[in-house]
Amino acid sequence: MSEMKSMDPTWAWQPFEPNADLPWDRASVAHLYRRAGFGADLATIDDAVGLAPAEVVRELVANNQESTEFRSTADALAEATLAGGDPAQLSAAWVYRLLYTPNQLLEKTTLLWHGHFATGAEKVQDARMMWNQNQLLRKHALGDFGELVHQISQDPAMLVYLDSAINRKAHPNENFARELMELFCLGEGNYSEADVLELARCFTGWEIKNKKFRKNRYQHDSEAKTVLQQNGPFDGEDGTRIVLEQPAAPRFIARKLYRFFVSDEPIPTDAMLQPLADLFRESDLQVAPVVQRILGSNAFFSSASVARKIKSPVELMIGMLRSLKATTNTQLVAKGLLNIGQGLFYPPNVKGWDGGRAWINSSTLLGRANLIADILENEATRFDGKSLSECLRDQDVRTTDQAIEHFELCLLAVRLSDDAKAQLRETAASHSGNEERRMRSLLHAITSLPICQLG
Amino acid sequence: MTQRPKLFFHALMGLLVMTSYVSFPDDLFAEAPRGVDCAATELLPGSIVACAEVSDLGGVLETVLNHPLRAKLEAMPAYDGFLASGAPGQLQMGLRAFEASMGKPWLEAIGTLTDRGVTVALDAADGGVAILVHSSDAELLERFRGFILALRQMQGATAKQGDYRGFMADLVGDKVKMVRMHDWLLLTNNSELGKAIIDQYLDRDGDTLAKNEVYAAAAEATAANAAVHRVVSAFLDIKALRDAGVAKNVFKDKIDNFAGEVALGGVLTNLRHTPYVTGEMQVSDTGVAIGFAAPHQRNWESPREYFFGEPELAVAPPQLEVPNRLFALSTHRDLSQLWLRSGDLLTDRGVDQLAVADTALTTFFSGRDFAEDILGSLDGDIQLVGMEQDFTDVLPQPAIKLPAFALQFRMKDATATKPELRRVFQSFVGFLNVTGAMNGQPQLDLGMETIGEAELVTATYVPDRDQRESLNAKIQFNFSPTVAFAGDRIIFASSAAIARELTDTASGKAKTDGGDSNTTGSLQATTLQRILESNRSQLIANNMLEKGHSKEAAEGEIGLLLELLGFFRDVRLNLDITSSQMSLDLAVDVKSDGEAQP
Repeated sequence: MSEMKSMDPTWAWQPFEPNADLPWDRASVAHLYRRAGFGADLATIDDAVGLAPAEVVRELVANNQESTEFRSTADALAEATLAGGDPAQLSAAWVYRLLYTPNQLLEKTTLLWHGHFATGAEKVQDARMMWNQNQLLRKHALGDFGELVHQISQDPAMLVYLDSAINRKAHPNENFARELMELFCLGEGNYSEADVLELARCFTGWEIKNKKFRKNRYQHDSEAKTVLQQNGPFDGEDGTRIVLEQPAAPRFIARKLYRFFVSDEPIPTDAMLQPLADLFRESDLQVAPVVQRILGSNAFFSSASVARKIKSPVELMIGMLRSLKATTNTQLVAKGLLNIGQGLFYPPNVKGWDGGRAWINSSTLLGRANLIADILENEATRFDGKSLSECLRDQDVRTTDQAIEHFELCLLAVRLSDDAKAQLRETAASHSGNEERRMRSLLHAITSLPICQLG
Repeated sequence: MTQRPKLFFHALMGLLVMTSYVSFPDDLFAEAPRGVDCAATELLPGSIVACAEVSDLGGVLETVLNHPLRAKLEAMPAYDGFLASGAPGQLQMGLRAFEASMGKPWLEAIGTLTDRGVTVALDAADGGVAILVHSSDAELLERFRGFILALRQMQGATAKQGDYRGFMADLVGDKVKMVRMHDWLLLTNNSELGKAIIDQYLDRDGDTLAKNEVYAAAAEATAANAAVHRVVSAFLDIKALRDAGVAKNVFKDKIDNFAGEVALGGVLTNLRHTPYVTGEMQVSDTGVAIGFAAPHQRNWESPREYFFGEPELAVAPPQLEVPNRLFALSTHRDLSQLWLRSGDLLTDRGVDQLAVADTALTTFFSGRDFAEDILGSLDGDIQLVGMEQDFTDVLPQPAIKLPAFALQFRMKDATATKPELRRVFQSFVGFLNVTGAMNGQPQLDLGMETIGEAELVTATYVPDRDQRESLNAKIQFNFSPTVAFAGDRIIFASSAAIARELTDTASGKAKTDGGDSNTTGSLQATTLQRILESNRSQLIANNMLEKGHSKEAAEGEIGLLLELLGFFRDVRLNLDITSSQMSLDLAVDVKSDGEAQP
């Protein structure tokens, strides 16, 4: 807490300059890849160590559009799952995308907006609508936040989820208007109940027919409204514009980005966030410049950030798989993620996932360990196309100690204590006869450790 | 790194050759005694409850490896991929080591090693398993033993041996021991069973399987059926298993599962009474066939006459023929009798479930008793058929293309039953439309058609305005539920097209002779291949999701699967029942050289 309070906002958001205490090494590069994506294998990390931090961050942010080839494969996969109409299958298709995408930051930010503009398939019950929303989030993930809000306010899945599929002038539906200000753009305390009622009137006539958005001009209230001190015969677009114009909007999103990329706790001060909010407003609510500033900053590589976030289930599972170049049954992963609290397309409520400490309790911790065990035991799980022991042998990792060091570098944000290493050696020793079993049990033991839950 | 496999190979070869020639000279352990020329069943104890005898393993391997389709297989691009994967390299290395140890080509070596038969047996006494290999070449058998021991040594296993009446038993697995007795090689996981076999080999005075009355009867029945390509014959002592309380669920009088009772009720009844089951496998250039047979008596059938027929044994109607047929299943089951006698056939739980269904169905059928009035209006001949659907020029096209299927019954009184079932079908479609509308599903449009004297009531899904030309439509667009009436036939079909085919007089009567079987079935592999091919993109997607494969890897795997499927012609199933025997036969036919496309 004191670290954050004592941090100078100007220094915090200046470009990271490595020094003896905070060197640009494998650990700091791994931290960057874990936060800007889900993790990287050692070869990628070593390549990045040879470049300047700003250059690596610039490349990550610039790489914000999928290649045509990858997009076509991943989209075709999603389309194929849509044929069955089951959103749970769609979840597996997203896991596949997370595992294979060359644009990790884009996918990570898409996941951020999925939690921000939370929409659950359990209620929407239409895989196609969920998929269309997912594509919308991806399209604007690192782009124009204002445009994303305008689009999401007309998104069928969102409106079905918020019971706003029918919004008549006689009975304006307040749900979307309230969430637009409270959860999507401004946060509590930055609007009044009267603003909610007036904003709801702006959205009257907006409805979903045949799974498509349409404006029913007969049901739109075309009278004057007063929204956030502005007066006029506003419609939904005007209402959204007015909300986005509020000074609280850039600060609210800057806080969200900070929590997602830097740390959950402690809560940053307004002063700390103001430089980011200013940059967000100056860049016309473009997301990429703010993300680039955060990822390349002193604050991001400081002790206030490293290992100060609890990995979400997606970060833990996809991170483990990507860091070890592993592939597996994505349906198993998707189902497992749902069981441990982060089902893709299945956020718990309109607030999305709480994140932070809420990820962890005795049940979810056990669930995480069990899911990793299931993945490691699944016959589809391969590491760079091989068994784990073969894959490690190819990297000259043969002994238990070498494997512990390898997993530590790839997967952990903090170093293992000697006691923890001794315990891991004991775990490995109980499987001395079978190398593959030894390595898998070691990997399971490491990924189940409390410190592996820190990212 | 690249030198390692070669070095390993040379070391392996050296060790194997040395051990097989030097460490274990021929006939070190025993002289040729009395058991040399006997049959395996004369060595196995009388407590054996299951055994399988492979008469010509070398011949089977030769048939498979020299099959004309092998050239086609090797011409497949996927085969090149398999070669490039390196897996065959390890296999080749193993075979070369084996050949070096045996001193002859591996196929010839296996042929000689097993030329007097291989027998696998399960002992009831303590669940022990024994494998007896009988060879005409005792020296080669000793080399084989040396090869196995050398392999164990290479794997770092500690050599453990024991002696019993002059024979050396080597530990070759966690519990498995190996003993060579002149031209016999015995492998077993149970010491007592092994000792009993050795005792019998030396003394020839014990109670053996050959003397077991049940086995003798089974052997006689097997011998009576002279099969040309029989390579495996098997025996299972069902009575001993029943008496021992094994697999109690199989031998229970009643089961929970209604569908299970319909499919297998008669077979399970027979297993509750029959003393034994024999089995056999035939392998030839044209395919593989597996058959099981068991004694049957008519007085065992009660209370399952619905399955067997009464007073005469029932015969399945012929299989239905339709163009692009995928499968056909024909059987005799008196469903009305089954439903009414469910209290005698199903457990209390099963009966309760059926009672709930009965109440709902009686309501659905306007108060008519479902078992007596509805099922009772149909006779026991049931014909099920599936066919590939043709979506050419059809819009919208479903993304997943399923086969169509139809179920045909004969009505006892068509005049009375037809209007009743037509009305019920219309109500059913209305019900589907109401529930579908509540769930945002497409609606069904009712229609009527007449083909000759046949009458069809169809229900077709209506696409949304913007989905009318979709090539990626929902799975529902595979279906257009239809009920058709043609003479005394009533057809419940998943699509109007298959109903039209079946109501067409010409194709409705062009049927395959069903013979005297109680149940017959067939599956056409070529049609299955075409259906899977039309869903290739879905299969690839599923493979990518299930196995985490890249697109290229998934395409390769699915391509290989479809190409391999192209080697098969069909699968046939027959359940035949006579007053003295019940037999179940399954045959898989492969295409001839000319038919299969590489």
